[in-house]
Amino acid sequence: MAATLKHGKPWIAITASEQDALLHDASTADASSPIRTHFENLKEWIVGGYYSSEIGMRELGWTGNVFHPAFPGCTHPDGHQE
Amino acid sequence: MTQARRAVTRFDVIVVGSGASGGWAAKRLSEAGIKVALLEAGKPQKDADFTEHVPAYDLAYRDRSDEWMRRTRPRQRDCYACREWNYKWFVNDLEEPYTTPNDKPFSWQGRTRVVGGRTNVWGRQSYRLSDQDLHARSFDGYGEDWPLSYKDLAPYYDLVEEYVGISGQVENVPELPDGQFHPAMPMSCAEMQLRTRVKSKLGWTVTIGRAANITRPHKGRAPCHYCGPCEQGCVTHSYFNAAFTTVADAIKSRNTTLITDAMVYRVLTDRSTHKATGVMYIDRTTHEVREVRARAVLLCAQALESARILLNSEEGGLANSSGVLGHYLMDHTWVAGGASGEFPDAPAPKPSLGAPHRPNGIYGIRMKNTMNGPREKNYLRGFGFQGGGSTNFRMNAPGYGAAFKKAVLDPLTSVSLVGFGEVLARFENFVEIDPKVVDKFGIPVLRITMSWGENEKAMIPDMADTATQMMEAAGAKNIKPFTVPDRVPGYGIHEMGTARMGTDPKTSVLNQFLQTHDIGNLYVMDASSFVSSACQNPTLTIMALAVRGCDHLMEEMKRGNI
Repeated sequence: MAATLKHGKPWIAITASEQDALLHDASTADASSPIRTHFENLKEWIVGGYYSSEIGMRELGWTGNVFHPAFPGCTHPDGHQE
Repeated sequence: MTQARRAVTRFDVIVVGSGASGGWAAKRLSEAGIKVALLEAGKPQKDADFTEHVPAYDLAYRDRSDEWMRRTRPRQRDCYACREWNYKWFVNDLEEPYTTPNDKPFSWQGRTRVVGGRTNVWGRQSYRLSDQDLHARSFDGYGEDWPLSYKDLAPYYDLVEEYVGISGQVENVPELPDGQFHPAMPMSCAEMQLRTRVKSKLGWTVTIGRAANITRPHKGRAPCHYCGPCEQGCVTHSYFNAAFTTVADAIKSRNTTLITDAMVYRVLTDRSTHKATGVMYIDRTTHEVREVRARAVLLCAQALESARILLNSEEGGLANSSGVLGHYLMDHTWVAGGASGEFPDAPAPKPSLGAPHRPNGIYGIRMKNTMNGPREKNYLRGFGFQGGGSTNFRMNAPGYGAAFKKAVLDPLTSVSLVGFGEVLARFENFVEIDPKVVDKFGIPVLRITMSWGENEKAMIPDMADTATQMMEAAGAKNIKPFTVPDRVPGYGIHEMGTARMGTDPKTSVLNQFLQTHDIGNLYVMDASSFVSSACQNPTLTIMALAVRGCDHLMEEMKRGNI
């Protein structure tokens, strides 16, 4: 939509740097503006979908191993002291 | 509702509900040779039903299903523990509703329909009450004292803890009596920093959560393997769930008959003898009405459901000569105030989905209005802090693309402290039967009227101030206090007090052994009995009181009184 308004072409027809500029504008627009709200909503779904896919979970360290012998605690005797 | 009576079966004792209290009642009685009918409104629960190791990508909606779950479980979904993995364990809110006045919302969550009840999905935090809690009226003049003392409960806390297995650390703080603990789960460095500095600068104790997660092999159960999401079940039985502990033991004794899908709606009584004779229930699968008879009836259905059964049993409520049945409803003010802070300098391992996850947090022991400390001017009683430190992915990093993906992996170490506050027992917080609404089975539903009083409202801002003070003492950065003064009651999921104990039958429903004053062979063993809420999580006390009540019941049976 923003691509059509600004460049007279749909999203897939504009260049990568034009896409990046549009995304930059959307992601830094006023927090309550419609474009920013739309961006954050779309981003939330894309991020959530990606990091709950197998490739996304593996990127976050998922190995499928769910049995851990221990939880590693702090090894500093009194915690982290200044 | 049809009244066709058929298939009458007889037992020594009927236990209604198979959760924390009902599981213990069935185990305690049936292991002593008593024939028990254990009636559970939900389905049987097997290890194969547990899904804690199923990754999100194997789910139909990949854990992106909030809106879809809310179509059938709008209230249950308000709780973090109702997830795409396990939502079917929870009641369908549309089929089994409740009502509230329009201006007093109440969120009734954690309504499970499986064997083991809420212990399938509970938070597992297990704390003893102290004499200051049990005798709070003597201390500050408000409400009533409990009709028993810590020394009466202590042996039962010991007994229950020895069986359940609770990991934790001895602290010697009078406000939170120590127990028999499995080795404590370790703290992170940020948590240790908070603990050490809060102790030295403020004199208050932050300890590791006391959790019903075992840390060494225990009675055939394996220690916790730190996979994380306990609320989805546990194939190694490492947390306490009545389904695979107390209920399993009761069945193994061959003296307990478990009847599932049994929606108990009425306690039957013999008017001439003034005794309970049994219960009526509706089979959830066939909608048939059935009757079970016994020498004694124990309601362990959860504080609101047990009150509902008694209120539906007789005009004006069964065992309600006092008129307080359903009244003095309490919850805890949950996450109503607190603070978070960042600890960028605390050593921490990089976050990873493949790393061990500790299913437990930290606990800030009550520090306000203590026996020997200063008194607050604005409010009575106190609060404890729950929360914990974590080193997390920055999922809320700004931007997009490669820069965003890199920022996600940049760890952020923060600690949160959220207050769980005592809620005063007030007559005007109550449940009654809604004369106009029935559930899917034709059973009249509850109308719940509850709101915070002046005391709760005055306490909430001090939770934020106190948490901030602790964060400052710990040297945290970017401290963010918060208050949620309009948090809807119910979110604590600690309903208590609807059939309170007391020495005076004119002002209480139960005696100190959970036996109704009015009907000698009728007991209520869930948190209905609580006289005050304290600020500690109630389940450990529910279990200790239930076992104590069962021992009393067996004495009464021996004496021929029941």
